[in-house]
Amino acid sequence: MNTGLDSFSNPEDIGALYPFVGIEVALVVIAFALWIAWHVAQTKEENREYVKALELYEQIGLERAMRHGGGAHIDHGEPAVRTGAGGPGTTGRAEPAPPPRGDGTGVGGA
Amino acid sequence: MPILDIGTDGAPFFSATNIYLMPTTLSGITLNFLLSLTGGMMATYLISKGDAFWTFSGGLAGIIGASAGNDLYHPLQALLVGAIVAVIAYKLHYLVERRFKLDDAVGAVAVHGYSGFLGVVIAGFLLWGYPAAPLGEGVSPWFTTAEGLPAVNPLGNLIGAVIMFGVLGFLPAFVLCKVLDRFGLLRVPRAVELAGLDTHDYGDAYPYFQEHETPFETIERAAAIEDGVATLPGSIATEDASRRDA
Repeated sequence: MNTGLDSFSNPEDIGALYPFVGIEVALVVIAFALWIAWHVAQTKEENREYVKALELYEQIGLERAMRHGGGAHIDHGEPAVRTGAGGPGTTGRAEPAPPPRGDGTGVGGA
Repeated sequence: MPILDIGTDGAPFFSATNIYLMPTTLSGITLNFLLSLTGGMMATYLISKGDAFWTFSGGLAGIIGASAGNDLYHPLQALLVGAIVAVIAYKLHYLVERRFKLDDAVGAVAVHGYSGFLGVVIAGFLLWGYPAAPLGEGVSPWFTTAEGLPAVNPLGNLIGAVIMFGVLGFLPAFVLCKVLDRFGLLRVPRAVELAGLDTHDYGDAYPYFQEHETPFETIERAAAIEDGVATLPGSIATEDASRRDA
């Protein structure tokens, strides 16, 4: 079994050295199709993200979202903020209210 | 990068070589690295639904997956191999988390281990019959080219991958972890692990993200509740010993 080159003895005679010489056209067609498909999928994914953003801003108001850094400071009882862009495997569940800041440090909350 | 004369006495021909001293083209390798990076990033972007962590990790997985044959692949073959390997590594990562409850917090085992292993195995098929290395003295290769040089083949690459990743990678790490575990140095107490290593000192540094946990953290939390988490201060060794005895 040999998928391409089997000798480096005559380097001057070596042309294409990749395996399966002759499938270049097929490779280009596959790569082009995947390239187009990827952009379609990427655009859909990005639009889904924008729809979620718009839903949020309609819920809490754009003014407030901008002032408070995108909804991190929503109090209890107010509409929950949903996000799916927090990192690997994030659940996209409702974000909790911030802890009280009684000590002025903003850390720990207790 | 060794540059050797691979021509004949009458017609010298100098070429860059790979680590096995086989002739190669540096610019070709560079392009293949870039395209395998691209393939891995594009594929994992889609499969992880735009997750930034996995998009970047997938790029690295693509490079690592195609590296075994990047000196010989066609650029588009490198792109496709990078994409396929990155997707498999991503899937395996979550499979191992779910089934074996083993955490791979930064995806290093997936990116380097699974991708590297798969890359070597795939190269065995794609580069089947290519000259693998010069013939060493006293060496009788199982598979040879027409000129008698050792030839790339799927079995050889599979054995090589098992030796590299299993015998030289997994096994020493497993033994070392067992030794560390024996002395109570492998893990922190589970309550500390769940709360975060410095939470007792600094509080919750990211209070707004406390609900954004990975699926594995959910598994871990459930297991901790089942086992009963040790919350009292005590030595790590004591807790590990009790866990071993249980």
